[in-house]
Amino acid sequence: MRVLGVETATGTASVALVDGSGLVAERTVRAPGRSLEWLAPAIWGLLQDTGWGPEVVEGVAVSVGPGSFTGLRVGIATAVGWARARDLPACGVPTLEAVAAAVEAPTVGVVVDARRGEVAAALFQRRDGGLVRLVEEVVAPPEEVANAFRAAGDAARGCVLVGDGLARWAGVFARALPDSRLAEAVSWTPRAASVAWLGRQRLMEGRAQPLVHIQPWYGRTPAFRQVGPG
Amino acid sequence: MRSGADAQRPAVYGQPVLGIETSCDETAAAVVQGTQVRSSVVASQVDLHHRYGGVVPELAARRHVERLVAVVDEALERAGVEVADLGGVAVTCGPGLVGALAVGVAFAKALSLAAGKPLVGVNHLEGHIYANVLVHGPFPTPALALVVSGAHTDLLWIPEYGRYRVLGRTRDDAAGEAFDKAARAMGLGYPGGPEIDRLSQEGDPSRVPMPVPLATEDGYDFSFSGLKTAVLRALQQSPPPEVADVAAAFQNAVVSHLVRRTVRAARDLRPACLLLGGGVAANRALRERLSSEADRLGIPLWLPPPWLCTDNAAMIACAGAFRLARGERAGLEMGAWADLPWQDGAGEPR
Ligand SMILES: [Zn+2]
Repeated sequence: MRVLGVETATGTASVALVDGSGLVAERTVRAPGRSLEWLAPAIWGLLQDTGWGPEVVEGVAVSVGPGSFTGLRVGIATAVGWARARDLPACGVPTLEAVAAAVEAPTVGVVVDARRGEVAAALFQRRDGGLVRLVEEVVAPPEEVANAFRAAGDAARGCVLVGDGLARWAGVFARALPDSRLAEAVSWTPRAASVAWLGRQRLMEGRAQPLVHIQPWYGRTPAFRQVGPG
Repeated sequence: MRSGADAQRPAVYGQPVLGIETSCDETAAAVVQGTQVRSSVVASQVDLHHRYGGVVPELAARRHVERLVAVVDEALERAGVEVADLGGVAVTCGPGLVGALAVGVAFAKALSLAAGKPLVGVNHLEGHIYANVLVHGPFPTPALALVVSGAHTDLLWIPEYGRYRVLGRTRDDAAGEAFDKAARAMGLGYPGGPEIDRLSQEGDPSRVPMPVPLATEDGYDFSFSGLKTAVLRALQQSPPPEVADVAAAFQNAVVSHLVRRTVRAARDLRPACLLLGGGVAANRALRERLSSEADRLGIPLWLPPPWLCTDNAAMIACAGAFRLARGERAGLEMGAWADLPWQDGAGEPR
């Protein structure tokens, strides 16, 4: 199954095509705030790169957060619009799982900067070729998350930490988890190749979602603010 | 150069066009073929924003992404049209709330790219003008259009299809915004226009004094902040006036101002027709007053029915169909703009 993956949860946007043999093509760029302008031409570029027409795509996967609110909505609207146009199966992929999937280690702690002094995080363990959550997705202060990772006990020992939250909070995690190590910074951002690959697994298992169910996971509720009539 | 006769007869797009509108607090999709509405679905968010007394941008964007695909599904189903049958996709790309617009634009771009259908961006305000075309057919040019909504009060000269010249606009509040603010001051609900329109019928406008905005100025600009201030001042009097009288006086002053400026432009420029559009175009008093003035001038006035005055996607699909018929296409890099100037080819990606 050939699957299109869309990843716009963070400031690094990417799109990818995968098939049963792995990655076919990917375009990635750090483009803060420009995901709406960048995304559709990037998908078009992928098709040009591969020489495939739109009809070749058989499934769609999209990163559903946590992440930039507008980025998530642009990615999801794009994935859903594509799937609706051609009646394709589609599914959402948790962004932190996509980050973890790209790191080869038995236990992976994902720590993404969620702004306002908080991180979005989860702790994964590789089991039977899949990722099992030892600590569920949470948006919280880094100290709290580091303690939650440590509370996972032996399983957390020697875990590999990954994610752009470590640029600022690596020290906090090093103190709480002294035998952990950091993944290379180049793997800290979620990538569409992982989203497409994880999505493909889900779709192959018959876990496509109704399109209306593919929704952002915002991770926190902002204080809503009213503006004048539009 | 086209001859004058050709300019009067715009090309009409024969294939069904899917319209998508997410600029503010209505999630809407529609299918229009030629100038005929085959379906129009609007999922309103008014209840959601009501408790905040206005539109909350983040909430609006969230609701759009929750509902858009279901709204599109329903529009296609009611029209009996598959994606493969479409001749194009038209989407509002501004002006409006950027985060809200982005949902519709992203969806429309992906749908058109995956299905291999042409795409056009539509100026939301241009859509309000085309609401008229859905009930009356193509309008004769040159036309004079008054677009009055919650965020805009624009008087436009349309020398030919697809070309706009701004004659005048509000210098402060939009007309709809003035209605909302005055309604809030009077303790009425949101949105304020329909509430004031209803209450005005029980009031006497002559009992509360209202200024004439820009009374000493030529030109076609508008101003509503002075009327809002007059409402606040009137409500502070003791004993306080009847709220119905304040509502009637305020509405009368707003409508008189809109009508006077529009009539002045119509007298100066002698358009082939007068077009009214936008949410405030549903206001009963404005429709009546403008109708009688247009009669007196001998210029035909086109009014959309109230269901096409409020935001909807049929008007976007219609305006988009005329753009498609002129061969216009949006690029995949199209964005969303909070402000989108009226200009030749407004709504095209820049
Ligand atoms: Zn509007």
